[in-house]
Amino acid sequence: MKGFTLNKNKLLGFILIIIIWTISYYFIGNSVILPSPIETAIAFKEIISSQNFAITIFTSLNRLIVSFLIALFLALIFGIISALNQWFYDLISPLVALFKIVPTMAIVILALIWLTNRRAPILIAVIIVFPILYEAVIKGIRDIDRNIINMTKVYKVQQKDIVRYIYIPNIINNIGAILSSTMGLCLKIIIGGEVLGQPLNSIGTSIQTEKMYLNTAGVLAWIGVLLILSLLINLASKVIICISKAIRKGLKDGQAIHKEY
Amino acid sequence: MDKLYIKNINKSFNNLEVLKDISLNFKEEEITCILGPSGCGKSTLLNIITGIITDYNGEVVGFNNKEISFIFQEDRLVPWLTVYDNIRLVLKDKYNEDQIHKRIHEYLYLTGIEDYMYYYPSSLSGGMKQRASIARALTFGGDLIIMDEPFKSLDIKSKLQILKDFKEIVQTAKSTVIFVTHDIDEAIEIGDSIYLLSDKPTYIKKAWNNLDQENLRNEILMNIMQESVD
Repeated sequence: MKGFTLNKNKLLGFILIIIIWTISYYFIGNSVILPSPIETAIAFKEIISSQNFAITIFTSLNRLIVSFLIALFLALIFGIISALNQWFYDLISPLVALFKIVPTMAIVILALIWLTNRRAPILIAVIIVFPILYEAVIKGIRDIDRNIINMTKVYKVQQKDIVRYIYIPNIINNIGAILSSTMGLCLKIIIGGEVLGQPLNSIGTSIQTEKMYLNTAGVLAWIGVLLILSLLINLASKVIICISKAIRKGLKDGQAIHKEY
Repeated sequence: MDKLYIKNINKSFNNLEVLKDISLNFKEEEITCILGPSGCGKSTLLNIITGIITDYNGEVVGFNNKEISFIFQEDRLVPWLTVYDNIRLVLKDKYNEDQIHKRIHEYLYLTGIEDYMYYYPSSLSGGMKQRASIARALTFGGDLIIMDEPFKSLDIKSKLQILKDFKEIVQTAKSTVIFVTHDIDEAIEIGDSIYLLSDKPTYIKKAWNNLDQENLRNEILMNIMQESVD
């Protein structure tokens, strides 16, 4: 009943947006500034039925996955070393702080100077997403209850088992908690980088092209596509978390019939 | 098992005398209680016995190379592992999988939480989590079980039940136990012998080897009160 109420509210919210949008459209009376929902729907249909649509989506998603995996890989390597070694943590903390405070636009401009427009969005996303994942990895290691670690020392549990059964699950839990939001941020940055760099066949370039032709309905339609992509990414994040939990359960040698907590 | 004892243990922290001439004997297959007020240095004494603290004067005999199980004040269970896997984690290097499986079943049955074997700690009550912690120590099967105020966080009803059960389990498992507490009733209920520690600098105020005597509780209380008057 609660779920039904929630879905009903979401539907009402969506209808409210369409109503406000339609009223605003009639009030403004200019399709270049604000196209109607119907014009946007027509543009949406044209975009998704165009020949290049699949390759455009694939290219941008490919950049998203590559940049996220690079950032995750670096975060795991640097995060684990930093959490275990204070000297290394101090050594790279200025670099991480720099990544966090430099404005995105400055990174975009530098990336476009250093790299081709196809690769620049990947670098931009890596630089922005890396500190978030890096901190999650460090937290995953440092936040573990010291009492539990002391318990493993009293019982002389091997280091490899402490890493496998205590550190790794906590790192996965921490990254799992921010996976959806971080991937969403990564997608936004990739599209932003594509808008400025304009590589061939990408969502960002398509949005920029629609803007150049003053086709605002096309821009809004692409935003609709991005919205759907974000929902799919959110769903994919949940699936990844479920799979990682299943793998972890499998890692326990299938001894126990585990119940969910 | 070799004789276990400590003799004339003295320990100071920055010229503050904490332990003064402490000598204790630990009898095999018995529960030796160390009873003392909070902050008197009981944990320091345990750390000396287990070798965590090494700079002290005196003798610690028979504890070298002993396999020690520990039951802590907190349950110290890994939240994302089931009760079964929490116990299995500490047994992996000591037993093969068949032995692990049998031992876990046996001791979870003894501690009365066999039905909760595949539950995560978050699904268990405080009492059940502490039972799981006790089961972990018993399943490990070391030469010695050290308990550092393990029932401190439990409510009175859970504590009484678990104390009663624990004594039976330890007698069945024939374990040698050092039980540290500040609670007189716990010490009387569970112990085979009691050493009463004074406040700092801590020394052995009195020892009881026969806990069946009448008015034992009053006698212990008198000794504690005597210290306050002194």
